[in-house]
Formats: sequence, structure tokens, C-alpha cells
Amino acid sequence: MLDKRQQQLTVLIDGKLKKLRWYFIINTLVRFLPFLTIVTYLLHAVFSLMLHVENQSYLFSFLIACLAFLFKFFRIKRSESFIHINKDNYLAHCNRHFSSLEESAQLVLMAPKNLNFLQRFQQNKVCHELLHLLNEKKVEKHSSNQHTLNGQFHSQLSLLFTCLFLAGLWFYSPITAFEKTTCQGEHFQKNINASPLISTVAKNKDINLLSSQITVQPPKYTNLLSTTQKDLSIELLAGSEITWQLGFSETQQRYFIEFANGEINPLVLSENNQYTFNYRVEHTGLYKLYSEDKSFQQIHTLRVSLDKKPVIRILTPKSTITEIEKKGKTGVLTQVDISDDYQISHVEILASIAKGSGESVKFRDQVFTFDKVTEQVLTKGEQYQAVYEKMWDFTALNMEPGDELYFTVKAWDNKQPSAQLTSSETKIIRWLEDEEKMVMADGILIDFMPEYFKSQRQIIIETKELISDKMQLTEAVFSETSELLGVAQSGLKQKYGQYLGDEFDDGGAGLVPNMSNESEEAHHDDDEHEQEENHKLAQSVAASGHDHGVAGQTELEHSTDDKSGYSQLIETYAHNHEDTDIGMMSRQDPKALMKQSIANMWQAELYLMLSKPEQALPFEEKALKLLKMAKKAERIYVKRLGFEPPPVSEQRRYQGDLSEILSENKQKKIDLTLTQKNYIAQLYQLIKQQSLRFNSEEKTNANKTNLVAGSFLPAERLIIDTVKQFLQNQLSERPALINDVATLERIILADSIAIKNCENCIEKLKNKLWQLLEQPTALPNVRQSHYLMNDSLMNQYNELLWENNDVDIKSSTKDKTK
Amino acid sequence: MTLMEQLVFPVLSLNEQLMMGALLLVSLAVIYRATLRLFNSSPLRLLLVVIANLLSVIAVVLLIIPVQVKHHENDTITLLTSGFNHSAFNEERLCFTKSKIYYLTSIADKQVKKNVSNNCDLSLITINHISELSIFEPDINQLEVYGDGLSATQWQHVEPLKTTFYPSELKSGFIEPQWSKEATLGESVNFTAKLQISRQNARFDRIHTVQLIDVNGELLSEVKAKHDEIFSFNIKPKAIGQHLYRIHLLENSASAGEANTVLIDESVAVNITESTLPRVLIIQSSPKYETKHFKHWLTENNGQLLTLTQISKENVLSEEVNLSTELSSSLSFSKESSIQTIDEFLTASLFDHFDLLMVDAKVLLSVNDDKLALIDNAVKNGLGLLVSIEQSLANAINDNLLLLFSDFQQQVNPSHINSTSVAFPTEEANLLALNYLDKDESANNHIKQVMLNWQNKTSEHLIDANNTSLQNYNAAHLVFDQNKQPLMISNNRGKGKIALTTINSSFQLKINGMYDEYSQFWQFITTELASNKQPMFWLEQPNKKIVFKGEMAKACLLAERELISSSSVSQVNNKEQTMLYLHQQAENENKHCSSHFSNNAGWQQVLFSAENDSKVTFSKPQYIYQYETNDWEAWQQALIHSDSDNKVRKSKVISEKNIINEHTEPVNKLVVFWVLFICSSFLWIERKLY
Repeated sequence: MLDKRQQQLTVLIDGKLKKLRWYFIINTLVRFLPFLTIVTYLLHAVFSLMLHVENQSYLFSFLIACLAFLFKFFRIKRSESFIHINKDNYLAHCNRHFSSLEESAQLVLMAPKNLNFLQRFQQNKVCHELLHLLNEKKVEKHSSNQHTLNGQFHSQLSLLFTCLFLAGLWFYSPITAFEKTTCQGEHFQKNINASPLISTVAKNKDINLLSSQITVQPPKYTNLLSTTQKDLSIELLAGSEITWQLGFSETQQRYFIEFANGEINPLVLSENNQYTFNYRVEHTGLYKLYSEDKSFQQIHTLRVSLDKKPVIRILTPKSTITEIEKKGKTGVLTQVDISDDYQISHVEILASIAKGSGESVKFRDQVFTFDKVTEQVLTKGEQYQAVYEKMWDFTALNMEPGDELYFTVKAWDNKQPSAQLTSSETKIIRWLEDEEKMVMADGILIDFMPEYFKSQRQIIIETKELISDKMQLTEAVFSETSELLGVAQSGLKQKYGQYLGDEFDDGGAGLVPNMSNESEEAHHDDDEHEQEENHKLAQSVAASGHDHGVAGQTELEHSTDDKSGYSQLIETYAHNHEDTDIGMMSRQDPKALMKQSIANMWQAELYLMLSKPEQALPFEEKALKLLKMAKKAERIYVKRLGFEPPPVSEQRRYQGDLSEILSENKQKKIDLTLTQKNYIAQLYQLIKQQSLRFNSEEKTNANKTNLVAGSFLPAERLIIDTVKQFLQNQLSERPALINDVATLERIILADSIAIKNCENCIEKLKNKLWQLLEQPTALPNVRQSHYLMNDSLMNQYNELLWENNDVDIKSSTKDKTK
Repeated sequence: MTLMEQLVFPVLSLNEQLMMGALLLVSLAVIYRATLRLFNSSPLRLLLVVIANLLSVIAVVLLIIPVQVKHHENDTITLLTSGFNHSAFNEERLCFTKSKIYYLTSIADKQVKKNVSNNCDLSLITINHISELSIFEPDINQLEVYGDGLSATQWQHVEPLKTTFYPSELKSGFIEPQWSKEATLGESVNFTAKLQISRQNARFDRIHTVQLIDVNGELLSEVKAKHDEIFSFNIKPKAIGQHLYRIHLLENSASAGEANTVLIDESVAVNITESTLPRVLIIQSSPKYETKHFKHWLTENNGQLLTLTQISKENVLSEEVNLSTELSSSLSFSKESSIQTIDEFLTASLFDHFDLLMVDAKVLLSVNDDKLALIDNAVKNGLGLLVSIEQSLANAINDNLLLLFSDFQQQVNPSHINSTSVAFPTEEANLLALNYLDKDESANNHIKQVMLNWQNKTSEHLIDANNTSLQNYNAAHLVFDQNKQPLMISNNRGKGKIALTTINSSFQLKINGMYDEYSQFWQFITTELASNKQPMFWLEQPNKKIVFKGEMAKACLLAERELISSSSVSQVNNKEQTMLYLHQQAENENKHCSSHFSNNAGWQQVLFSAENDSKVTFSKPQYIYQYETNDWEAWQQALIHSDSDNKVRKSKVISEKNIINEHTEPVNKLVVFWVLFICSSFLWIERKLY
């Protein structure tokens, strides 16, 4: 019976001891928690402040806290207090708390045989009492006896403190506050440099682009396969369709795509949390991806390459005009090389056959196809190249000698929706009627010369006759004939003058010697006498022109149309070789040649009027030669239409009336507005200033240098916007500028030149801006002196010097007078 | 040299001679006694005793007399510097000299010590700074320097009596570089340098390619040059600011397909500033195209201009462009319409407001003497004067009718020759007279066609010019034509400058599309003539000077006293400002210089700040580029070579007289002492034993 109770007690006491031990461990650990929490936080603070590794410092301090916790746990298990929680001490503990045990609880676990009677009696009694006590929990679970016997959790305060401490840290972190306040001075420079990057990170921290897949489907007519890429900056052919498949870390928001033309489209959320969008791209530009709350913004480029037009190269005949002799072969082979970057859809020859001459000329248009097509080996960047051949048979075309065939090759590529057309230059095939070859220029016959050209020849003939008949003729007849020839020469000269738009009556031929300088050929033919005469004439005319210019130059304005006015004067003075609407006065320029011819006519007229036909003859001949050269020159000269100033009335002319001329004071302020080029220079300077760091500048990458962060001023923003706009306008011609436009867009978005994820962008932009800058004009400047104008010592010396000088001058003048 | 020849015996005084004599007598007496004692008994012993006595006496004498011995010591010090080439020749020389070898570790090749000490046993001492050599060797007689040598500053630490310099091999690179470190926008910077190719280079005598690389890394220009040839580039930066151009020396690749490698890469730093626009006053007797186009050019670039034109006999047109309101209101004539002639406009205060006066000959000849004196005075006070000359004015100058042009007196007076030509019967005189007659005839043709040449620039376009000859005037030639005939001449007058020009159609350049040439021409003219009335400006850095990292950078300025009193100068670097001291220069009281040392390479900004009279803060920066120590290595080497050669040249003059290669020192008398000791012992034993 007793043994049973003892066994029962042993089980019960063991159970109680187990509970007591757990409560002991828990209480001790909870009491340790506040200390552990504080130490852990301090460690985290040290890590984050000293090592600047915020995320890792959490991990480190947590690991250390766990280790400390385990260490404490094992230490408790090995502590004396824990070991002392045993049966003997438990029974002694019961003795102290329960008087009913009569300080005899330790007897309950002793073997009865080792006890005397009184002890056995007491054992029996206490066993009963102890059993009752230990089983009491079933009745009164939360009584004080139960806590005494089982132990209890009593470290609520420590737990509360720990919780409050952690809650406090959650809402208010002293480390962050410390960084914001005390560390501000210490890390001033660093924070300035780092802040834009951090802010950018903070903006994009919540939302990240997890995946991207761009599918570019080129237009069908190109027969190119679709491509896939991950890079969001896309190069594509015009008309390609792009499909964006983007994965964002945040799927609760809406995302948009904005194109350079201002078109904004939402991205569509599809399965697998992928945002998709399709778009057909025709032009180079930027696009922006952004979230609804703008916490995610990215700019990328679309570089579009255009489908090139077909290229037509006529291999034969090479020259514009091919002349076939009457008795020659009656066929001409035409070979044309046509290439395209994709395919050619259609090729044809548009030909016109001209029959007859003068007013009875008739044209017959006809479309032909090529006889033979031979595809060639493809060259780089081209998908199609072929040589087309066509044999023109004059008889089959019903042509006769004297007829002309004009033909142009047209080629269409396969671009959709509308094919691109290229037309070749026009080639002319002439089947000559007789053997004489005519003068042609760019396919148009120069036959505009009036009969006066022939009369120059007539003048020469008559002059020669006059010279040979000199002996037979009387002096009066000779002079009269010579003067008549002079008049004829003058008339001819004036007629040509009309073509040139010049007035020669007032000595405008002053231009001529200059022009004659242009033609070396002409000079070679002249004898020395002619040159001398020409030179003198030129000088006299130039001098008279000069006088006229000085008198009237106030009101004259430079106008290329006003040939008889300012520009003529300029030509006289400035040795003007070229005129914008006429073109270069080259050796073969008909205008120059005609002017030289007229100059010679002037001389011829002069000597004819002076009854010196011998001296006039070389000029006449030269004039004719130059006219012939003008005929040969491959340039069509059209009579100019220009400003004709109204003639000055006789009432006003030479009257010397100055009553309308008054003294006047004009005040002007020239406000030079900034041009786009100026803006480029200003932007270059702005970037340079911001990225310039003395000592490390120039040799290092601009992105790696410490860049000054900070918002742009409104004026600076205007500069950036203007340059961006300027570059955008250039995109159609220079698609490569898209990267620089993107950089500028990023700068605007970041409000700083410290932009993220763009290696060498600023350096490349700077280089591009430098490239775009024009060569500057030399500006007026002042003398570089080595003294100040207000230098007192210099002034004194200067005064002394001049005083002495004055004395010297006075004395020398006195000497002279003496 | 025998031992005796090396010994130096001092001249003995009389007392010493008497003492020696006494000693000799004593020893003779001793020998005499010994002879008496031993002559018969033991002659051998006698001989030994006599010898011992003599030796003792001699020993005593030698111990007493301060005998010295001559030393011909090798006191040469060898210094190895940067660029020391470990050639067989140098090695043999070093081993032969057996001298102490020092080397500057900071700059010398680290391998030197290893290489030299491997071949012969020499004492190698490392020094980090040249001043340490003077501590180790306070009195250096001979110094042999190997390698690049020492700079002028380093030589101040060493003062050897004789210096021998064994220069290192010349490095490939550019030497004698010079360019304007600062220019205004639109002004071109001329860079010149000499190409130097190392003789060790296999392509030493070949033609090399030198390239000028733009700020953005693009090739700007390219020249071909050989060793020792001078080449030049014209640089025209496109924007205001600090720019770095690069000069590349290319090593042509052996095969045609390969790209050329850059052998040398040097940077050329140029600071571009805004130009100071001059205020120009034009006074003309009638409207002219020349002035019209000049007016357009000037005002397009924000220049200030006042034009006074006599448009009729009784009317004057005045035109103000961009003049400040204050200046405009201060010009009283702007409100008066009754003024009829230009004379009435001309006042002393008018000229004070302008930096350049352009005037034509007719105006100068028409104004009265008082007004001419005003112009003269204004020129003396700094105004630049550009006069468009005509024959009438030329005649007036020749006749010395205008005091303003007194400095332009013709060297040879053609009118004088003309008048006297008949009197010369010789053929030469007639030819000379004909020559002048021809000139007079050509002078009737008012215009000639010329191509402008100024500074290093040449216009290839013909323009018209007045045919008046400026050849014989006593003046500097600013612009000349294709035949080297002057078209513009100038003379200083007081603080100002007067120029005479026959160019009256430079606008032809402009209207023919050569706007750049036109601008450059007029920029040159204004820069030559217009006075600089700025209260403060920085002086240009010397063209030939390159400042390296760690060296002293000096920046000088001219400023009025009032500005200086409230000024401060600081070196700005990464937003940090270091205050610098301004030192007034002795030669000019308005000239002040500040100097600083910087251990950073790159652009250094020196900022002048001051308050003017109206308490407005005024600041002007100056930029100096400090090169890395390894930049322009060939030029640095050439400079150090030159400094060391100079030192050698100077030391040659001194060393021929002063060098003492030998010195004396007391003879070691230990042997003598032992001789005396042995002899004395022998004599003592001989006396005691026998």
C-alpha cells in the first residue's frame, strides 16, 4: 500500500519537477530578453553606422542575438539553480510552504524498512497529506498552492519591457534620426553626391521591372523573321510591330507607356502577371514606361531604320546623250543595275520618241519592259540586286534618222502599304539625220541664240573687206563704213547685254576686265596690246564706278537681284567671282563667256568708231570665239528677272537739294535672342560646370566622378528642353541622336545630371554637343596691355614725357623760324 | 710616387733645431762611450749597439717631428638620377671610379641599385631628397651625375666644385611646347612644339605622324614631322570654359593593315574666356560700306558703338548702338539737333567713354586744331585711333602739318627726291626719280587689289584697298599685302596707339562669304588698338611655361588700388577655398601676384574677389592647369638636361682653379714607436746582461 503511494508520489513529484524546471528556464530567459534586445540593437546601430551596411546589419545582429539566446539557455541548464531543482529540494520546499507536512515530507520517498516506527507512522501520514496536496490541482487549478508546487511564469514585466522597446524601435529609430542630424555635417559631401541616386533607388525601390521580353515583328513584305530581345532600347525597321511583355514586382498598380508623340497607352495585365502592349512604330523616338503613381519611370529608345528606295544605276549608255550616226548600227543596248534592301516589285521603262523638228515636233510616249533580267550576287545590306537589259531597235520603234528617244527607268520596291518609286535620270538617244553634231546641254538643245550671233561673223567679214578695200576707198567712205560697222557692233552688244541683265550704257563694262581675268584661255589668245587696252579701260571704268558708289552707297542695299545697283558695285569692287543665283563663273560659264565677248565687242566698237578696223578686228574675232565657247558651254542661261529701281526724275537729279536731309540721332539696342546653337553651347557649359571636378576632371569618366546633384534652375531647364527639342527635330535625318535625346530626357526626369543606369551617357552627350557646336566667330576685343590705364605712375611719366616733347617741338619750331 | 715623395716634413724652428742638435750630440756621446767599451772586445756587439742607438735617435726625432704624408684620395661622388641607363659603358665607369654612389629613390629607377651592385662591389646609398646628399657629403669636390640630372631647384641643394654630367638617352616626345594658355572665344590658339625621337627608337630618322585630338576625342588635324622638326596646330575651341585637347605622336605600324599605335599622348589645356568688348566711336565724313559692315559685325556681338556721320554740309547723323543709358544720356548731343558739323560733337569727355576711334582722312583734315589736340590728348591717355588714310592726309603727314602723326615721319621723303631729281645727272637717280614718278602715276589709280596678311593669317581673297603707299613711314606694320607692302601701320603714342590704314573694303570679305576671315581680321585690329580700361584683369600665363603637380603656380593680376584694398584671392578646389596672399610687385605698383602649391593635377581656379566703389562684389577667376608629373616627360627631361648642362658649364670655370685633389695627414708613428721600443730594450738588455 505504502509502496504504491510512494510510486504514485514519485511520478507526481517528477511531473512537478519537470514543470518547475521549464518555468525556471522560461523565467530566466525572459528576464534576459530586455538585456539581449538592447545589446542586439546597439550592435545593429554600430554595424549600420560604422559599416554603412544597413540590410546586412539586421542579419548580423539577429544571428548574434540567437547565439546569445542559445548560450543563455545552455548556461541555465548547467546552472546550480537548475540542478538544485531535484526531489529532495522539492520536498524541502514543500515542508517550508505546507505546515501540514510537519517538516517530514522527505520521509515519503524513503524505504520503510529503513525507518523506525515513529518515522514510518509519520511517513504514512505525510504520504497521505502530500498526495492530497499534489493532486489538489485538479480541484483548484489556479490556487496559490498550485503555483508553489508547479512553479509559474512571473517575468511579465521583462516581457512587457522588451515588447515596448521593440515597438518603440519600429516607430522611431534613433539610428535614422542620428544619421539625419548628427552625421549630416560629417558626411555632407557624400550625402550630396549620393542623394539623387538614393532618391532614385527609393522611387524604384517599391517597383522593379522583373522581366522584359520584346518581340519585334518586321513588316511582312520584308520576309524577315520576328526577333526577341530583353533590352528595352529597340532598333527596328519602320512599320515593325513591337510587343512588350513586362513583369513588374508590383501588380496592384496600372502601368502606362508613353511615346514621343505624346500618345499614352495603358499596359494590359495578362496571365502570369505579365503586362503586354502592341504598337506599330514608324518613327525614331523615345518611349517612357511608368506606373500610375509615377514611382516607377523608365525611358528607352526606339531607333527606326527606314526602308530604302530602289537604287537604279544605268550601266549603258553612260553619257546622257548618245548620238548614233545615220549610217551606223540601228540598235542600242541599255543595261541597268537595280538594287533594293528588300525586293523589287515592278520595273518599267518610260520612253518618248520625238519626231520632226520645230513646231511640227511630235512625241510618242510608250512603256516598255526589259528583255532580260540577271540577278546578281547580293552585296552587303541588300536583299535584291539584278541587271536589266533592253535592246532598242530603232526600226522596230518606227524611228527615222533625226528622231530622238528619251527614256527613264522606273522601279518600285515591295514596301507596304505603298511601294516606293525611284526614277532614273533620263537618257537620250539621237539618231542623227546628218553627220553634223549639234551642241547639246543636259538634253536641251542650246538653240536660243538669235541671228545676231551670225552677224558677228558678218561684222568680221565686212571688217576684213573694209581693211582690204582701204586703199580703194576714200577716207570719208572708209570712216563712214567703219562707223556703220561700229553701230552694228554696238547694237549686237546691247542685244547681248539684255541677256546678261546689265546696263552697259553707263560704263557697266567695267566688270568685263575682271571677268576676262577669269578666262585664261581668253588671255592666251590676246596679244599684249589688247591686254593693256583692256586693263586701262577696266581701271577707268572701275574708278568711275567707285565714285558713283561712294556718292550713293548710303541707300544701297546688297541685293543679288539688283544687278544694275548694289551688287554690280560690289562686283566691281569686290572682285566677285560668284553669284548665288547664277552659279560659279567658271571657265565654261556661258555668262562669263558672254560678258567677255561683250567686252571685246566694246573694244571693237570703239576702234570701228575711230575708223581703226585693223585694231577692231582682233576684238571682233575674239568676241566671236567667246560666243562660240558660250554655245558649247553646258549651261543654260536664262534672262534674269530682278528688281528694277524706278528711274530718278530729271527734277530731282543733279539739283543738289538737301532740304530733306536732316540731322538725326538714332538710338538702338540690339537684343540678340538666343539661337539653338547658343543653347547647345550653354548646355555644354552647364554639363561641364556640373561635372567638372578640379583635379580628377577630364581624365576620368564623368559618370564616375562625384556629380553635383540638385535641381536645375528654370533657365537651365529651359536650355535642356530647347536642346532636346532641337535634337528631336533632327531625328528623322540623324537617328543616332536618339541616345542623346534619351539622356536629356533622363536628365530632365532625374532633375540632375547624376542619372542612374546609364554608363558614359553624360560623357557621350557632352561629346555630341561639342560635335554639334559650330566654330565660333572671332569677337572684338581690347588690347592686352601690361599696365592699367589709371596707373598713376604711368600717368606721371606720360605727362613728363609729353611736356619735354612739347618743349623740344617748340624749340625746333623756333629754330626753323630763325 | 715614392714614399719619401709622399712624406711632408715640416720646417723646424730654431729651438727645435737646437734640441735636435743636442739630441744628436748625446747620441754621439753614447756611441763614443760604447765604442770605447766594446771596440776591442766585441766589434759585432759594437755595431749592433751603434745601429740601435742611431735607430733610437731617428725614432725619437721622428716621434717628435710632426711628419705628415700626402694623400691623393679619390673624393668623387656619383649621383644616379631618373633616366639612368644601365648600359655597359655606365657600369664600367661606375665600377672604375670606385666612388660612393647615391641615388634618388624618389625619381630614380628602382632597378639601379640591384643592377649596379650585382656587377661590382660599390657602396650604394639611397637618398629620398637631394638635400640629403649635402648632409652625407657636406664638401663635395667632384660630383658625377648620371641620368636626367637635376633641376635648377635641386642644384641649389648641391654645390660641388666640379660637376660632370652623363646625360641619359633622350626620350621620344614633344619639347619646347608653347601656346596661349588663355584665349577669347573665337580666337585661335597656336600650338607649336618640336618633335624629339629617341635614338633608341628603330624609327628614329623616319617621318612621324602627330595628331591633334579634339575635346571629344575626334581627330582635328594631322601633321607629318621628323626628329627635331617644329610643327604647329591651330586650335579654335567652340565654347567658353576649360578644355583639354590632346597631341598624339603615332608609331606607324609595320604593316599596312594594322592601326597605328599612340606612342606619346600629351594634353594641351586651354582656358577660353569671354572677350572684353571695346566701345567704338566712328567719325566719318560720309557714309561708308566699310564702317557699315564693321558696325554690323560689332553690334551683332553686343559691342557698343557711336557713329557720327557728316551726311550733308550742315547735317550730322549720330547713331548709338547698345550704349548704356547712362552713357547715352551723358552725351549731350543726343538731344541737340542744331549741331551742324562734327567739330561741334568733339569734346574731351566724349573720348573718355570709348576705347577705339575710327576716323577717315577727310574728317581729320577738316577739324580744327583744338579738336585735333583733343584727339591727340585722348590718344595719349590710351584711346586707340584708326585712320583711313588718303593721299591728301599722306601729304599732310609728310609735310608735318599734323602733330598727331609726328611719329610717322617718313624715312625717305619722295617729294624731296622728285624735286631734286633733275639735278641728279646719274642714271641711278633718274631711275629712282622714275620709280617715284611711276608711283605717283599709280597713285592716281586710287584702288589696288590686295590680299590681306596679318599675324600668321593670310586671306586668299582679293579686296580693294587705297593705293596710298605706307612703305616709307616710320611705324610697325600690322597688315600687309601679298607683296609685303604695308596696308596698316601703327605707332604708340602715350598710352594709346595710332594706326593708318589703306584698307577700305574689308567688307568684301564678309559679303563674299568669308565672315570668319573678316571677323578674325577685325578682332586682330581691335585687339591691337582698342584701349583696355578694365579696373582689374589677370595677366596671361607665359606661353612657354607648364606647371606640374606639386610645383608653384603663380597668377598675376593688374588691379586698381581701390579694388586691391577690399580684395581677396582664393584657390577654389572642390568647393573648398584656400585664401592666398597677394604680393605687390616691385616693377608695377598695380601688379600683384599670388602663388600656390597644389598636389592635385588638373584645373586650379584662382578667384579674385573685391568690392568696387559702389560696394558691388566683383569677382574674376583665373584657371591654371597643373599637369601630372609624368606628362610632357620629354620636355621635362630636356629642361633638366639643360639645367644640369648649365651647372656643368659654370662649375668648369670654378673647378679649374679651386680643386685640391690631395691632402696631408699625420703619419702613423706606431712603427716608429716600436722601433724605438725594440732598440731601447736591446740597448738596456745589452747593458744589463753584458
